[in-house]
Amino acid sequence: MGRYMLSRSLRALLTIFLVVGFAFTILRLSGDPAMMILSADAPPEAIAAFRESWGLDAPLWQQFWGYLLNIFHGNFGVSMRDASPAMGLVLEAVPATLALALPAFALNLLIGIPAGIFAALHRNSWMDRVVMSFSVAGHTLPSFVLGLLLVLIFAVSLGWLPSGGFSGLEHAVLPILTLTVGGAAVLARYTRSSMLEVLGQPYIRAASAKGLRWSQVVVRHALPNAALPIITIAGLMLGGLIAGAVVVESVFSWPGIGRLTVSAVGNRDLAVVQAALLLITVSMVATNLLVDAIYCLFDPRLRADSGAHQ
Amino acid sequence: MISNVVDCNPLLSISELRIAFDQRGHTSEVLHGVDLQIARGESIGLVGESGCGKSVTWLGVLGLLGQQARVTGSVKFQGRDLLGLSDTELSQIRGRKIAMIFQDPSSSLNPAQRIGAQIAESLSLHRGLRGAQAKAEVLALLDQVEIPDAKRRMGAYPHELSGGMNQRVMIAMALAGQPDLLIADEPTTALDATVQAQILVLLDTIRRETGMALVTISHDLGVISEICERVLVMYAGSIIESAPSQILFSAAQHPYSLGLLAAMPALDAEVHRLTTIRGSIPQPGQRIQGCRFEARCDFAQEACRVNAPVLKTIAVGHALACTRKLAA
Amino acid sequence: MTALLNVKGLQRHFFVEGKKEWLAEKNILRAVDGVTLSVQRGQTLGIVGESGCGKSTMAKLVLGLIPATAGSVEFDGKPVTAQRNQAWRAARRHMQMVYQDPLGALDRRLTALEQVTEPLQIHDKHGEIKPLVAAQSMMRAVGLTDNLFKRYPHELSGGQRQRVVLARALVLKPSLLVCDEPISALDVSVQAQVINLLADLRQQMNLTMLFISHDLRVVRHICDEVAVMYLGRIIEQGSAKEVLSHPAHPYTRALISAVSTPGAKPATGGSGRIILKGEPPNPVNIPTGCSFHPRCALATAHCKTAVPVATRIGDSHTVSCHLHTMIHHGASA
Repeated sequence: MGRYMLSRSLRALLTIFLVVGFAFTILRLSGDPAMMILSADAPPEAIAAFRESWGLDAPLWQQFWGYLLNIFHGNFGVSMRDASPAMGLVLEAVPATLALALPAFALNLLIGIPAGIFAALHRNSWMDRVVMSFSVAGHTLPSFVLGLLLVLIFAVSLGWLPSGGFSGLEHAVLPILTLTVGGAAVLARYTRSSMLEVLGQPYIRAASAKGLRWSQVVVRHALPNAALPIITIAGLMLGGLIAGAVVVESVFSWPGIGRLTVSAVGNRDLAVVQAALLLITVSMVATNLLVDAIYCLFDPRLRADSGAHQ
Repeated sequence: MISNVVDCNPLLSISELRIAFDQRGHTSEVLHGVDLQIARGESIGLVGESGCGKSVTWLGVLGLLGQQARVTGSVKFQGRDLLGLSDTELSQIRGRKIAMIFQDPSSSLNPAQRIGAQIAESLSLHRGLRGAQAKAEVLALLDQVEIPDAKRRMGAYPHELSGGMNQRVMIAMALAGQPDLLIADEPTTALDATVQAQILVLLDTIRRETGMALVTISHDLGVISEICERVLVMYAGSIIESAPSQILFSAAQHPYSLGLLAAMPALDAEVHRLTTIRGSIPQPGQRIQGCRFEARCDFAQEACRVNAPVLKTIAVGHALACTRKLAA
Repeated sequence: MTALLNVKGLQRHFFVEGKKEWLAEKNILRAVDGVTLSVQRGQTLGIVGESGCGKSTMAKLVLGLIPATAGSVEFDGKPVTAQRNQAWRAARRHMQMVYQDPLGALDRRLTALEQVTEPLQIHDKHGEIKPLVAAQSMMRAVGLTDNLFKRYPHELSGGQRQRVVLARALVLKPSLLVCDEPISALDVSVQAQVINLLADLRQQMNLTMLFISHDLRVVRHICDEVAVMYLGRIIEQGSAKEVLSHPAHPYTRALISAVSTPGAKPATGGSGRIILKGEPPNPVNIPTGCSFHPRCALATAHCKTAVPVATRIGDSHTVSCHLHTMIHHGASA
């Protein structure tokens, strides 16, 4: 188990390095930050001065090396707009994102998994078809369409809920709902197929033959084995939610990481984009590692267990 | 009723068992009226090829066929008709009175649970044993099925053990409930030859020691001949011959039984061209009037196409379903 | 008469993840551990053994499907390598394989006729043989009726599928046919049909066959010679009749006694049945000395330390066992 986690951790570090490097390169090659910040008809000397003061005239690898060194000193750069520390801006946006991500994740699990299990146990019945239809609808509807629809219905027509902003509990309802619909739909579908696959295995019939009631067979033998792929999907989902539901945050003017990243990219605010990406990557990688560790715990075949090997 | 000995009180009595499956609108019958009886402590074998219904019969008896199966007839066991019971009532019989072990032992065990725990689950379910008592009994069962180093093996997962070991674990699990009848569905097919021999000997020993009845299902006549006192040959959903072991292998009457026996190459005989049964097995659910074997039978007569054969006793303990031979 | 197939000192090792500390040496799985055999033109050699003995790996090595770790394979005087080059592809014409699972061996998107025509289209692009005609005649020769030609694999029975596999393998008239458990997945009545078919085809086409099976009865029936494998080594070899009626090696004797013959006395208790202790061991952990000694009732101290060499005990009958003289000349009636 230790060896497995060590190799996974090393891979995680490599992933972070690659993502940061990639983002770094692309940002610098895709348009001149100086021109964006200062506006296109600024005098060339001003642009040159800007570039020099921000170190943008140095060769790419030198810039990257300097960046890495700074990170090891805890310096993530400053925003080109207002010179405030980049990581500070990003961290400020984290609570807002978590306020959406965590409740949405919890709801995804609470709605999606039972729905999937229910559909699998009643396979091909009308109940199964109803649940799966909702799942397909929730899955295929783009989040911004859903978000706007919800705004239209609940904010504009019914006036029950506000359409955006950040100043109260009722503002969180619609964005969380939007995130939940998509996530629960995906989770329901994966849960159903994982359950169906397990239910088709010979050991399920053998468990029934042992004399266990169906409910006992499902709970003791089917669910634990069906849990593994579900855990993987759930983990990925959590990573994605923390990374910032960019679209939803934009639709609802929610001041989270997603919205921050989008505007920073638009402004070529390099340090902020990089800081945000670093945080997002670390959180995705961390959730993946967590999923790997849980996987190892659940599936004995993955463990290099000494056990009772002949 | 057909039986080896006139048994007024058989352990299990199956009568006119029919099983059909609903598939996409139409129903296809795969078992066409099976009658059989098992006496206490008896060892019988069910032999036949794919589609003959040898496994489906027992899955139907135990209610393990799922929603799409239509099972009719009667299955009398200890004064009750199993077919009329609810799933909950049946679950009290499964494992406790009638146990079943399956073909591929490694995939019939929960891969995420240690084998000791899986056996303990049966003990807890059927005998209310828990904790230290259960653990002691698990060890005793593992010893009974001759698993060496039982204490260490208890904590193993199925994938850490070989096929032969896993089959022993399954047998231990089945014995945990102290059943009156054990059904072994192709218990040795997935195992190596030398291990096969060990398992068959084990099953027979346990049967003699505990007095439980044993039903062995196999496509391999050799396996059946090892440990069964009485053999039932099935073809395309019906029993076509039933006889004591020795009689079947020396004086079988049905063309199919004879064909099966002739189709096996022998280890010690001179090499000769094998007699084969021409044609192939009919599709399950195919509606056939008359004898299902007629199309492949070298002795078929006009009557065989029209009259479906009925299982009738032709000698003590020997029953046959053949239109031609019974008419003669 | 030179042998069609010549195998010398063939070895195939796999490296597997060990259950040790992560920097420890990896375990070596000796799937095939020094096999020497030869098959004469027109003869059939059977390879028998249980799971883990390496017989399927042997099939792949002989055909050049996987590379050998050591040793050599010679087919028709030329070495067989596993490099997928022009020469290798051309050699496919002369050596073919029949598999255990007929459904898996067929492309489910092609009809039976298309499966059998394909090799002709690959190897005979100049159209010397009319592909369709040759394919149809081969299919009839294996007993497939015309109405089955246009069927897809899932529309055929197990026996019919295996016939298609056979037709496909034989349509180019190869000299060597390797069969890896070709009838295990079939019903008993169908097995007999396919066995008869193989015997007929072998005679008509003067095929040389390597027949791999765990079923001794079938091997006795169809093979001229037999080699018994255990943990990657051949422990007994000779004519099928001789080896299977006068087995020398304790393992061979156990295998033979494990064969259930219907009508024979029930084997529980004293009928001379040999029940081996223990299980076929893991090929990662090959015991020292004679690899069979942990399960052998006759093992001595010498057996634990020294690897037995193949000793000739009869006309082409060889056995690798320290005690062979004792057993072979003992009461083996």
